[in-house]
Amino acid sequence: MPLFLFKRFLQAVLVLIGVSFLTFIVAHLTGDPVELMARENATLEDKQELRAFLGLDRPLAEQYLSFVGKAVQGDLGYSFVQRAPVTQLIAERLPATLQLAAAGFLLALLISVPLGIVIALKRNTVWDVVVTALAMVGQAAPGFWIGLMLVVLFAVELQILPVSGYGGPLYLILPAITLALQSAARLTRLVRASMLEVLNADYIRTARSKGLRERTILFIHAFRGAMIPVVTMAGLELAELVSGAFITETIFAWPGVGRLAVNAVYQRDFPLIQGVVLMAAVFFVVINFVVDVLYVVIDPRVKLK
Amino acid sequence: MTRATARRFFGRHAIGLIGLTILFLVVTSALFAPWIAPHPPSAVNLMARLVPPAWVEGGTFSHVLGTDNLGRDILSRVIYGAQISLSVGAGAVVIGAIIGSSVGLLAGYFGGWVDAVLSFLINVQLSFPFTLLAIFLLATFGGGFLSVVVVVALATWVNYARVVRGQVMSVTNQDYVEAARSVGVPTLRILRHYILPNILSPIIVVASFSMAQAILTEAALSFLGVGVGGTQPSWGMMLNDGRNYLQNAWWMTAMPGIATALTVLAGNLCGDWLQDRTDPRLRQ
Amino acid sequence: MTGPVLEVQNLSVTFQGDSGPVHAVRDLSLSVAPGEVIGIVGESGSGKSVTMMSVLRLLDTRRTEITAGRLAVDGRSLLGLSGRALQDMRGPVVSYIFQDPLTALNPLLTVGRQITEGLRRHRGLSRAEARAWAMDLLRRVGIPAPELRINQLPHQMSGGMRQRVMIAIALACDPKLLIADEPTTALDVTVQAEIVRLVQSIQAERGMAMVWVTHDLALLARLADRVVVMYAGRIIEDAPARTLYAAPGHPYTAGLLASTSRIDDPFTEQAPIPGTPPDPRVIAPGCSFAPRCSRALPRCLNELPDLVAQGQDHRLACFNPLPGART
Repeated sequence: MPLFLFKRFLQAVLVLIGVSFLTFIVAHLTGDPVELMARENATLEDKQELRAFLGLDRPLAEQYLSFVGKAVQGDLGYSFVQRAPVTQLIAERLPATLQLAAAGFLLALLISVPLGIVIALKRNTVWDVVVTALAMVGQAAPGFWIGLMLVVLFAVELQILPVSGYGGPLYLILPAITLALQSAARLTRLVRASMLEVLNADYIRTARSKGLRERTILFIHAFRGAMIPVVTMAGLELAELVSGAFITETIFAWPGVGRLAVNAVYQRDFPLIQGVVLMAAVFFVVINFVVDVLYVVIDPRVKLK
Repeated sequence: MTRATARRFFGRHAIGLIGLTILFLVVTSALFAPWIAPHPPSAVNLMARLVPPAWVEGGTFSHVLGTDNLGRDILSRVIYGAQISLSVGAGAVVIGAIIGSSVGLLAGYFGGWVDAVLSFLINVQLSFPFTLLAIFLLATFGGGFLSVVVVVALATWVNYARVVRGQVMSVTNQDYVEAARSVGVPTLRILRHYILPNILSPIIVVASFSMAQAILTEAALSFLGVGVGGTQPSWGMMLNDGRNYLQNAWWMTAMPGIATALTVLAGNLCGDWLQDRTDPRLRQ
Repeated sequence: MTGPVLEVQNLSVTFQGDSGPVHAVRDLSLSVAPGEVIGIVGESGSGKSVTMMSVLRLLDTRRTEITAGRLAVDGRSLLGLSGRALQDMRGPVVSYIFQDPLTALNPLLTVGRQITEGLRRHRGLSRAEARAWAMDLLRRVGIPAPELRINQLPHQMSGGMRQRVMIAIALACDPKLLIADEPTTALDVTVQAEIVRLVQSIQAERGMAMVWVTHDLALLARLADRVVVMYAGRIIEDAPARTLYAAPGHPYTAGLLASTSRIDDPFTEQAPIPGTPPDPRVIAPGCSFAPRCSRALPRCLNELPDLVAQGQDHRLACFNPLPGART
């Protein structure tokens, strides 16, 4: 493993420790779970006993270490509200979320990369102005609001797509678009800017001076260089999508981790929230690391620094 | 001004002009809401529930944008909603800018382990699913104006920290700052006289974008029911109200969404414009 | 075939700048004979690079307007040539060496790939054939261990090495005309001489025509058969190198020579030309150099001197040339 990646790996581990500590502290500050769990007529002794049983009477550092130790083994605690292990609850909902996030991410890339390249090549034409304006509006409008408007159009007025729920591919369309649009808008502008910068580079002129076909210049010489910032950004966008999934899942009654978490917040199900936050953070860190690896693959200069 | 120079002027400043115009309209609505709004924002009129906008069949001009499920005038509520969005935006910008710039300043100026620790903090924050944390905090400690402002500021401080850190690092390496340091000019004086002037314009650029981001975040939080709360309408709350009436009153959702989008667009346009005027390298 | 390799007649190049049109090249005519080495010299912004870039239209076509009475390479007119036909000329007929090899080479592609792609496009070689050819080229431009270097990326090499790679790329398809656009400016002084010698020896060996664009008049003394001096988008003097150095006709040329350090006379004070080049957005009615010229006559400010023949092989655009140039 190159030094660059090793450093990034260490950094990722450090960030994970930081995130887990933060989650732990926040969860700890959110109030005494015993008050929520205990029966209404429980005595002080009952509560003490429960506290001891849950290990909440031990020093904070010890509680944190045991929390991390268990988390590493896949034990994220027990949801007293749902009466099930947190890991199991998350695992049940994860496929739906991954499905949605993957669809949304793919859609965002499929929209933004070709569109960004085309308007970069046709810069300052009507196409460029129209697409750029649309992208700016797409960036400005709340993603979930666009989703609601899509529901009005396609589900209520035209009645060609279901309003909400989980089932066949038809159910995936509106949530995926809702999730993708903001990312697509941001990425389109990024691809355009990045492509324009590369197309202005001296080495593109060199490629042209060799008499290469425009197609070769575009796909071999320009595309790869232009994708370097896009890959970095796309990683962050994927992380953003996971956050966006919380609201999107709520709107469309999508049975994913996001909806689970939002409901857990309303029900004050702290172990569950803690588990979801930690898992999402791990996901973020892993994505960032994958982006770094990809970066080395596309840009060989990084390896040698 | 000849026509050619006029075209060039508006070509270069068009986005700024559009952004500032929208922002001006929104700010005016917020400030003069009691005089502009045709109805009190919370006046319930059960006789006029779910009236569509004026241009739709069945709409009337006394409720240009229609009414909601309680017969409240949507135009008036949108106008009053600007107050919440703008004050959350402004509050978050001020707090976020202070926290973020301070962190960035310290990290960039002192470098070394200070930078390492603060950069680590920034990284932790960036690796956090923030929406969830925000919902979590607000649900736990309760909503309300101040909580929302603080939470939104927590979401945006990183933007300032990163930009300021980078800018300070490049300024600190300039010869004139090195020179000032070597002759023993006190740190605070260096910060105030050499570094602050150089980071002011990037901070303003980031503030424009962050204002837009703050308004979007507030809308999302209110939509989820953990927002400012209270009786005063906010755009996010209106979106939340409208959600249950998508089937028969799309305008309840459409209008506050358009207001949000326009305001956010204005913030982004001003940010783009300021960025082009100051330093294109700050593009995030 | 004895016609000129490059014929340019009445070329004008205009950029659409942010603050109005920029007249980079104005009414320029020039020809290069087979095997001839021409130096184009001028200050930055004089239009010397733009002239050569516009030959194969390497300038941004959206912002540039090129007009010419005739623009031909190797007897074939380039005016109105479509994309594909123009591409066929780039490489095998005319090729370029650029100023800064660090930015002119694609940082993400191996050196081998960047040399072979032109060969494969124009000569239809297979991957293996092109590779063998590229290896020969690398050897010819003086790169040791080409079998290693061919798989490297540009940033794994030194500046001089990179420029050698650039030269190999330019030579790959055996062009009739090589255009070297300040190829040594971005290099260390010690490397500059090596690169000049290398290009010179390859030019002699292949007998191709060459245009060397530079702001360094001294460099051209041992390189060029003929020197063309440009100022503010126009040619102001065009003469065989020997004539130009011995008896420059234009006061600007004389000024350039005076500001160049001379090996045989190291103690003469170098005299820079006073003043600055004119704003290319503003076209003065007279000679562009007149405001800086010590020999300017009243008519120089109002009337544009044509570039006229001053005897054999010598063209000059000046109303009051230096006496030595009169034949």
